[in-house]
Amino acid sequence: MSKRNFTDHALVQLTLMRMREFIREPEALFWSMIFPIALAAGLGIAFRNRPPEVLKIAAVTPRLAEALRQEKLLDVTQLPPELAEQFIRTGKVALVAEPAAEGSSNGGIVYRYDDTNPEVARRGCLPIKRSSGLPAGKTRFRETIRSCANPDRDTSTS
Amino acid sequence: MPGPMQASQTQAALRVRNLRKTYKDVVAVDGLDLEILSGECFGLLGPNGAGKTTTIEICEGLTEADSGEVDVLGLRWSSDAPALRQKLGIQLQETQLAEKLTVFETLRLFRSFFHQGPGAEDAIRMVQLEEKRDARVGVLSGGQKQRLALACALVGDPELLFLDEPTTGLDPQARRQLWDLIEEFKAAGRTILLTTHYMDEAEQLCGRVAIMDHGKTIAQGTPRELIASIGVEHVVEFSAGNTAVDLSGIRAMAGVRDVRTENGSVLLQVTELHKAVPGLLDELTRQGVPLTELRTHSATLEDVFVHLTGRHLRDE
Repeated sequence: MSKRNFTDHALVQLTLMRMREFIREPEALFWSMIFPIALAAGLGIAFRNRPPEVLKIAAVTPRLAEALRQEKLLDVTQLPPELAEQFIRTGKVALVAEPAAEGSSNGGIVYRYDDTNPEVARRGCLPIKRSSGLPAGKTRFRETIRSCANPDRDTSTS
Repeated sequence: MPGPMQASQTQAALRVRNLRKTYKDVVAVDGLDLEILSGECFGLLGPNGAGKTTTIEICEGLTEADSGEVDVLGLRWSSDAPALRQKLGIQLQETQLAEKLTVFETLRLFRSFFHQGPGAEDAIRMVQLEEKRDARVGVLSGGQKQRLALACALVGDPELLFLDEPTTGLDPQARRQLWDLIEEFKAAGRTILLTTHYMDEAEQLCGRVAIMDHGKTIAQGTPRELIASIGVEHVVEFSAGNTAVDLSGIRAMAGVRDVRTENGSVLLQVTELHKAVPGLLDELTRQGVPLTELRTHSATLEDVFVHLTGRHLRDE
């Protein structure tokens, strides 16, 4: 009996046979190797963590602008009231913060926004830090402000 | 170890005694006795369903018998299966080899199952598949696949080779090629058990044959002995179109042993062809019967089977 190589062992040959059969079957290769990886990659891209979006807003007074700039997720521009009005109509800013009229309950701020702007509708609220000196917490726009684009425009204070 | 002692007691490569096997209500093998001597090519003949394949599968250890004894090379399947597998070569009726492997890879795989034997390259040379060495099994023709299956059976250098209808479904050329291969292994002194329902194949290859029908052997001997045993040397077959032939006149002729009609032709079993044919022609002329076809052939194993059972081998 001649000396046998490792590769002449039946178990090695059977394993090789299975592997050859597998790699020579393009369909099997696709469904068991390529497809799961492609699926995982596709789902991974679809549901990955996105960086938080920065909301562009306008403030009509320097004090308000300064206070709101403490919030990282807000890109605050200080604008005169007329320009702010125009910006909110054209969607250049999502909302405008202005001092409330004299004698309003919290002496606070009015946030005005366009409720047809999908970005505002999607967010639904504005995070405000206590340190800003403004009324803190997640201010719900819908409860506090009516759209400036609405004909029967009506604002309320937060 | 009973092995060596038993082996020395016997000259028989395979001995089967009173073998029985039933499948539900079908009796496949019904008290079969066989003895195959070392170095001979033994043919197991019979029509489809005679029990040939069941018998050979029991001998191969693939099927278990209901009762009876099977000694293969002096060993028993019940106690010596691993040793037996190393000594046997098997070609099944139909072999489904892995289609994605090449001829060489297939033989290398089969070679790895055996402790000794020719290498894969040698086996390819033996069955003349050198040109197809790197072809995938799936693209081989029927004859090439059968030759590959035969190579797989030979790669373990078997002492006893089982061939179950090796040429069924092959074209005549592929059959001849396979016959030549089997002849070579016969010449090398291997023992072969072959089943077939081709009588010419058995006459060509086998030293001895057993004819099986309904799970039993109904005749056993050399093809020549069996043909001689029916006392008929030649068969004359003629047809006369649609004209009626008076068979009694033909039956009375000298040297005619039997007259039968079959599918519109008349078959005569005769002992002396040189007397029977002129006599037949004279008789037909006298009856005024036109002869549309006349054939003669020497008696074959097929005629033996017909003689013994009244049926043809190929009958379903």
